[in-house]
Amino acid sequence: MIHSTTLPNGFTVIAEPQPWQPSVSFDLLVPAGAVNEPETMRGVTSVLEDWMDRGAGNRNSRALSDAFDNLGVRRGGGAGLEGTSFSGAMLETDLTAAFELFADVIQRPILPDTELEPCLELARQDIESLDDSPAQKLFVKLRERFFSSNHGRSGMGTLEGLAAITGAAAREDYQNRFTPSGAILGVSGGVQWDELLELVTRLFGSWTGQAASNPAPKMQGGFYDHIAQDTAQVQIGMLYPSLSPTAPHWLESRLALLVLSGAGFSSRLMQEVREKRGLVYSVRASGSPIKAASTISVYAGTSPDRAQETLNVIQEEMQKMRLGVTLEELERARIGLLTSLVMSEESSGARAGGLVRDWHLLGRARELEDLKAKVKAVTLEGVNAWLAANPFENPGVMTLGPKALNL
Amino acid sequence: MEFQQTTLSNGLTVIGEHNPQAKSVAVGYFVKTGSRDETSEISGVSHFLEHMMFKGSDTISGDEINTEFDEVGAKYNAFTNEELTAYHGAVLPEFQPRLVKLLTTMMRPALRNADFDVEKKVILEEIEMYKDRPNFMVFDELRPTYFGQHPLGNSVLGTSESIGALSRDAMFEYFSRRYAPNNLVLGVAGNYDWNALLAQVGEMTSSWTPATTGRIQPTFAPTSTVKTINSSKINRAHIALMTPGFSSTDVQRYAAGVLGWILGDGENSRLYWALVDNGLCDEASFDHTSEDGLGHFGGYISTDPDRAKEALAIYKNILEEAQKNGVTLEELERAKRKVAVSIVLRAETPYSRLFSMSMEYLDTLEYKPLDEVVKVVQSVTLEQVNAILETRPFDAMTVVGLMPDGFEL
Repeated sequence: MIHSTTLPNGFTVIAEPQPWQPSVSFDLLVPAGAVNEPETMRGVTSVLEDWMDRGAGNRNSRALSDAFDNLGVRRGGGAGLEGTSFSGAMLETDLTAAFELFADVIQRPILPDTELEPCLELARQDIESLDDSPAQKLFVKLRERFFSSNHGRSGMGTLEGLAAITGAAAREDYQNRFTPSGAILGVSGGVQWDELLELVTRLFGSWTGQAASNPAPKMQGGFYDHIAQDTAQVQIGMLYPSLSPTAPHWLESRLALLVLSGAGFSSRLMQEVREKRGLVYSVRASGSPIKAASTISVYAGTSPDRAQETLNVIQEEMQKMRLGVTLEELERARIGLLTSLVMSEESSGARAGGLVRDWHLLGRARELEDLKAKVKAVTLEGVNAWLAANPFENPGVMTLGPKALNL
Repeated sequence: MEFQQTTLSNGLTVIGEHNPQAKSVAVGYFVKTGSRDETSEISGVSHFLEHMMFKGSDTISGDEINTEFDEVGAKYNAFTNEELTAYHGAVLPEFQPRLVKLLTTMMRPALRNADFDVEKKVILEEIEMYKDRPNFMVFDELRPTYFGQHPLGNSVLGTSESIGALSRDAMFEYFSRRYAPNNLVLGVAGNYDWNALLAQVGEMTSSWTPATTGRIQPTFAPTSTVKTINSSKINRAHIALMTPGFSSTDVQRYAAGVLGWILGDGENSRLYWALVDNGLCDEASFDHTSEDGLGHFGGYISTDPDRAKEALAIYKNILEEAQKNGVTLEELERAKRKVAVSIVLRAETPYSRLFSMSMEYLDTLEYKPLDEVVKVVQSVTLEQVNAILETRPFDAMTVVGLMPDGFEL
């Protein structure tokens, strides 16, 4: 059962206890992301996320790392588009001590001048590493071009943005954007709700600040760009605009997408591009929801002399989707999605992340049983009506490699 | 959790870790074969064969296999490495019989020529894909440099040439030698039905016959080598290195594993503080891997090309300092705690238990429950770790740097 409360300062805590688990996982999303960072300091959110970790409360960088390690906390997270995530997993017995450390990092980072330079240096190297990761580079450039709002920004920022960051400006930005209002904490695993709420209220209840406002997402497809780079394979990327996760036909659209490119090999792109023709090793389509919108991205990587055929086959499959899917295809997509939902119940980390994602995108956390019932209730007519009314069209297309293709 | 085990009359070993509270069942065939069991003429065959196993048997086509996996909602995949090929999936308990039937059927493939020709193109694309990933390519160059003539230096993917020249019959010959039931382990984990499993698998595999399999274990003497490979296609310095370690049955492997965490974990390790914290490298890692008969410590550095030499010198200094003065009790305790918690956290799902349990079993022919694995790690002593360092294992180090043109290590 899911519990949730929003404290008076706007900090939301959601929990799904799994009393049989010896571990606890959590994910805390603070509403500071690339989408709302100052235009003059692109990349400052990920720099801040690194900097905050280099000393907090009464501990310097090393003492803080030692304290986390002494508890055996495994940490994750990072700066993203719409928020910065601080996540962790630990044994149930260490929850209180671990949360005390995280509360320091998030509310009382020292942000010492001496530690800023290494953070900037690492951020610069991240950007320079992009050339050695062609597929990642392609999507960074494609998203930039596809969104006319800030949503196309990469969390890495830009070299110009990093060069403009000063200690004083970054500290001020931390004060403005790392706020309890809009922050979401999801917890799952061996935890009791009453005790958790008391702990969270004690640690985060007196934190203050108003969340930064985000612009509305704006997407603009209908283009083809090519990046010339001497690579072994041509990287093909496509972005399609899609609906908001709060839209009434969201689940129909998700199941249709799984028919196109599901977890297994029987999905259409895998069958047509790889299994029948052997054109690629990798081809996939996936959805990325953001607040109030989503995109569907398609990726394939293949040798230069087979890239045009690959692109043609993918385009044909995308267009064919408007004709609808078969009942067999829908049922395979449905059982795959239901199985994923059941298996997520076995993992505290998956559930903690799921609770936060739900709250961030939908403003509520869904009970898995309710969600499963809704997935079961989707009909073939519903999916096909949605596909007929919302064909995949007007993509932004980009390729990276030795030669451009014909669209 | 209850451990179950049996060996069928054809030599196939079946192991299970039963968890009645789990909501899923994970099943996998683990084959003790990989690139180290290949000759240069058939380089890459283990991995290509892994792909071909999904193309059907005499009773089922590749399309039908794909459809069946998806109809039972399976999360499934396969992988090949130097020593092991594995086929695995997880489903809701009601689909256990269908998943077991599917995986077991796959273990006797038809290897049809038409499928072979299409899949060969996919493999060639996979080889091309990795050419654009320098952080992978540097290890592909390092392995043969470090292992020399020892087959652990063999490439898993093979080359465009070896795959291009490979025939269906050569693959079948390799399959016939390596996929005998006595060289396979069937593992299950989660909320499964043991008796139903044994009845089903016993019947389906009754015609399988054991064979002499085995594996060569040539002697190996590490050397100290530094090699630079230049490429105009890359922007960063990617440096990979190896030094000798301990095999998967060597009692010192646990201490070596903890030592790897102390020196080279991504957070709060000696290398982290010396190279990443100050912004010199965006990555500097070091860890220990056990193999059948051998073992190694492996490391990786990513940095600006003009600072690569400096970074490598500092990296080597950190290892030398550890060899000279050992590690501290505080570091040891912290690392042990991290390892133990990571093991517990990874164990939440049947799917992850399937891998830990089956791979441990393949290595040692023993089952270790989770709490015992944790106990073994916790019992590593400072004396054991420092005894490894006293033998100066990092003196014989092979380093390969993949760098932009004009830079040397």
